[in-house]
Amino acid sequence: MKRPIFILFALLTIASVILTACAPAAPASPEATEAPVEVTEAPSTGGVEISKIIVIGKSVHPYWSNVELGVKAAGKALGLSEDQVIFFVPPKEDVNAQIQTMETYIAQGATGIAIAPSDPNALEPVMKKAAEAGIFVTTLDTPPVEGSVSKVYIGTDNYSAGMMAGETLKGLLPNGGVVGIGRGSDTALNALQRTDGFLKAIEGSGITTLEPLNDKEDSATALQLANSAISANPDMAGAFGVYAYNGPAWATAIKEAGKVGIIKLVSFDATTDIINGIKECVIQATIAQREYDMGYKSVELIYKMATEGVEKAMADMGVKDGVIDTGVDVITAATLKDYEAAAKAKNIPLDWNTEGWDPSACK
Amino acid sequence: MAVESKSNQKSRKSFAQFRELNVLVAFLLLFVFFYSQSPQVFLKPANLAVIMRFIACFGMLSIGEVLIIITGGIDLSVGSLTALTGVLVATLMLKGFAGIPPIGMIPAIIIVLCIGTLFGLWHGFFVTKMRIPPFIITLGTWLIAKGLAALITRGYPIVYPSESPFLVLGQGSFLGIPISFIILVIFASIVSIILNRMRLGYRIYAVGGNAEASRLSGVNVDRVKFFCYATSGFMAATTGILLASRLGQGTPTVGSAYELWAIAGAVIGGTSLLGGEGTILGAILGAAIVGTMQNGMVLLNVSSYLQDVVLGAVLVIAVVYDTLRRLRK
Amino acid sequence: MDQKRNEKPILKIKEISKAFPGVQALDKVNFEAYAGEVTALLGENGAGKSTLMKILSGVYKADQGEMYLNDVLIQPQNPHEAQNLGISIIYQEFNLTPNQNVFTNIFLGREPMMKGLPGKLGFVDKQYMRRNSEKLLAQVGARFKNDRLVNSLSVAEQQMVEIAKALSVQAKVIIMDEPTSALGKEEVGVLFNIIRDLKKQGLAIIFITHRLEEVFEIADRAIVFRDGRWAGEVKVAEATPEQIIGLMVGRALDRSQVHESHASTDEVVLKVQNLNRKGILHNINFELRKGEILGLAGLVGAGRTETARALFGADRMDSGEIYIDGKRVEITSPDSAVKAGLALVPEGRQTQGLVLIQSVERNVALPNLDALSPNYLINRGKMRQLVKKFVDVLNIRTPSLDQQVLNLSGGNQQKVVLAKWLASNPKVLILDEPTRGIDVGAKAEVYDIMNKLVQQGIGIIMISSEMPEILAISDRILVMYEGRIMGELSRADATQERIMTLASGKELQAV
Repeated sequence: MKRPIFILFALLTIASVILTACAPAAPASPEATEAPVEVTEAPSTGGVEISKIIVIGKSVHPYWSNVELGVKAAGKALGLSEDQVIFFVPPKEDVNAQIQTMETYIAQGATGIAIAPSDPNALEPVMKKAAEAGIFVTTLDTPPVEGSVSKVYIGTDNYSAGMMAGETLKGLLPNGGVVGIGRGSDTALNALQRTDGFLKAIEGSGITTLEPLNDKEDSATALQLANSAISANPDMAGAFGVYAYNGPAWATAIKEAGKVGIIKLVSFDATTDIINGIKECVIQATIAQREYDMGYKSVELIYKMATEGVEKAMADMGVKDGVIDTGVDVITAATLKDYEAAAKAKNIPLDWNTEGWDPSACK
Repeated sequence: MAVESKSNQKSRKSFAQFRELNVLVAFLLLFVFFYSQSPQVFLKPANLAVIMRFIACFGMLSIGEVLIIITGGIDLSVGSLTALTGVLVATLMLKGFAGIPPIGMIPAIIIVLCIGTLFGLWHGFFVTKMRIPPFIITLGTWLIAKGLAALITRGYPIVYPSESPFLVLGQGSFLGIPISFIILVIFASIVSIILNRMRLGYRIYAVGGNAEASRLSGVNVDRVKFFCYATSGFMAATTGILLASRLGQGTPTVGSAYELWAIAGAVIGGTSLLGGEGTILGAILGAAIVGTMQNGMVLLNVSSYLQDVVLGAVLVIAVVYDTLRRLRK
Repeated sequence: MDQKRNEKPILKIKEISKAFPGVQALDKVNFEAYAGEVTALLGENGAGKSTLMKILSGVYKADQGEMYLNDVLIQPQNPHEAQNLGISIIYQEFNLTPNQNVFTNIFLGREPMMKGLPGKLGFVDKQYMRRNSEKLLAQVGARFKNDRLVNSLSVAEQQMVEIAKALSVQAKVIIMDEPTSALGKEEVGVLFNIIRDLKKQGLAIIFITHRLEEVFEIADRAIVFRDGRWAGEVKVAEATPEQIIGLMVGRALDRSQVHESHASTDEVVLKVQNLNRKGILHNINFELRKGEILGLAGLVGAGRTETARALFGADRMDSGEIYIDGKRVEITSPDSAVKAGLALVPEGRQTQGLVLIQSVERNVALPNLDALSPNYLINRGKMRQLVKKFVDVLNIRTPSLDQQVLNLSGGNQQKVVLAKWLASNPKVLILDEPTRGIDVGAKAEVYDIMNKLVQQGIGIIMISSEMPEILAISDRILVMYEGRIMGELSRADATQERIMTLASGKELQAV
């Protein structure tokens, strides 16, 4: 009976080796932590002990990595230690993981929790539990249910962002045409809201849409479906990428079909490959949410609630009707350089630059 | 004479080949159906290339899966390994790893193929020497690989510059046939020859049919299983590399549930989950059926809500049909 | 013996036929069973016994013919219905759930419900189950508690549970399919006592077996099937074994055919020195000569199979030296044993000897793949030739080489196992219970093959629990007891009594 113990030991050893080997890789964006942060005022805790501020995202994704950057930057600016500002995301959208994480931090007695609920209805009870335990609860990215215990929602709701995408594409296709939509889920709220906003915006225009293509959050499938849709619809005039990787998927498919500029493409987010698409004139416009701001402001708001009181914090942060609207950027070839400059001003690290690129190439 | 007539033997043989004929007929029917629905589009070379790329991806994974399922095991890790190996090849080529500067395409591919194979050998080790159920150990890798891919990238795709020669593998084609599909045909042929003509293949089927009887017949059962798991890991790495090339980026957002599609392809193609039976040709035809349906349903503008329902129904029908066929025998 | 017999049969089967693709499994067979009587059903494998039982129990439907139970026409659609009619079958492989206790198993699938609302809600009446199972267990003379887990019981005790289960449905007819095949000698005695008891209680017992001695011990009548037909019926009290064997094979078997003296040489082909496996085998030493059949006798659990397996590398040995043709060989796995020239026909034909879902050809080729693939590629022409040769030599009856061995009869399956090893051209052939569960005709053929092999100079080690077989075929006999070799007997010295003495761990007084 020594064998199982030996195996267990071996497994533990292996696991710990893996962990230690990976540990240095954890702060994967050294630019983020080392970037100088604008510290405007010396933080004072006002006698209130900040235990932990938790920000819970939805999935491992560049978008959430940017949120994390904002969270960390805010923590640093507020003089909080790395243990005090915690950012958590499940590997994939996972309501249950979010609930469990919340329960863990409720038990630990966090100061505040900002959550991007994958399913606002499902999360509401545990948010309520947190609020009852005296924890400040806010939401980001996805608005909570009506009458939620979440006092403030920070973000731009997906519906308006989707509408913005629709308006943009409408402008690109004055004569209308067939438009394909690629998205990663038929059930996730953000996908549905972006799509609905988009459809609302193009209502009454000459644009018709195909059935949305669901790739189940898989980039390769997204490309596969985009390929199929373009070959199925030789008259396709435009495309809309709902999730961050949908834009590049459409872009690759459009390039392969030799339809750059013929099929007008509007995407979401501003990842490197999307920016590359813009520079190559395949992507005409992309809707960038200000996710860095969402992370930053979530931490800042909870900190202020704890130190200065809820009312004052909300007034200071400009909360209107329980919402801090972070807004969106519409990035096109014409505005790309401005966007770059604005990001640099905020110390958001970019994986790309526009050196040697001429926006007039895309006209 | 103990053996009866020659003609009897012949008829038995054609019956054995009939197995894959079923799948082939199903595939052709599907093909004709979609062609009749949208004749102007379906057979366009560009559209066929789309289908072939799909088959290349899942067919490749099915090859490894078939080998393992024949031996009575299962490999749930291949989808996640696809993501991890894709991320790794991009990391090695573009960013460098653990302080080592970026390396060239060929060494990066070789290293990643080795890593995939090592994962397979790791599974083989646990399955044979530790007697851990394959389901469990590969499920562990499924999670580990998924996690590592996310950890290495933190969710950011590692994007290749558009002029990188690496992209030819997944995006290029030769005489109109995607290179990835050609690679699939090559690997499928090799493994088919191993299964049908080489003693290793005979042993793989025997181990799946009855491992103990095989061992007592002088077959090194562990070695046979090691081979199958290692091949599956290798195929997953190949798929990961091809997908990274196809997408022009190493990204953790690929590979989800690919193992299930690979298994589905194998099962539709007549592989028995009880072990001992299955062919590469069948599995690739199975992948072809899934690929054609996915493409065809987009052509017909079928709602994606409905697509999964249809694909699931096809899988159930295939398994039920196969089970009935077995029972009738 | 006839005093209890009723005039009318309780079970009457009239002209039942059943065909499967390519086989007429049953051809207008008649069969009767009487209350208070044991009817033995005999026949070679493939004679149609199992098919008839499956029709009786509702697993198969007859193509034609009728069945009457107490003069009432019955047509059971499934085993459950058959049970309710009063026909219970105890299969060779028990239908028990090992992780549950005895009384749960006895009422499995027919759990009595509690009275009133709880019963309607699905609550079972455990009290009733406990009480009744106790009675049933007493009825079969079981001395274990009804709440024991089935997997903690011995095989014989599990069989008692099966019988109790059969009784629990008020069975009128109990069919036992080779009930003694997994039992030791004493346990068989216990079973027979139970059967005699059941007989007294007025049940009709149908007893399927291969062992003639048992027929003479327990049965009143014997019905013999051959090739799906009724071949004859005898009153056991008035019959001789030769008569029954004659009915089974269609010709009388001359027992002296088996005896054949072998021109064994003095050349030692296999030498085993100090073979040890901790707690299982102790200092096994013996030699095997070319052209010799060495019998390995002993009771179940004496270490005979373990010796064979250790020798063949199937189990790890802790220490010991093995010499083949005078040369020391390292055997660490079956793989290396095969390379050294050993071959093992294992005890479990279907579980260890064959890949059932594969063809005759693949099975025979399996240990010989190296020889058939000089450069890794299989030479399929050569393979077919080799397989065909041995299928012909051993007279394996199969429609084609591509037939799944699954579909062959037990005897032919055993010959496939033999063929695969003969094709490997071994120096030493180890046979572990080579004739268990195969019919008389096939047995004779196996003996014949063994005789031919030793003439070619192969050394054979044969493990057998059948004393007459060991005595008839061995040139020399080693008797094992508790992992040791208790003694060696020459063909001339060997008698049943001497073997039994050694096998029970006693020294021989004087030879």
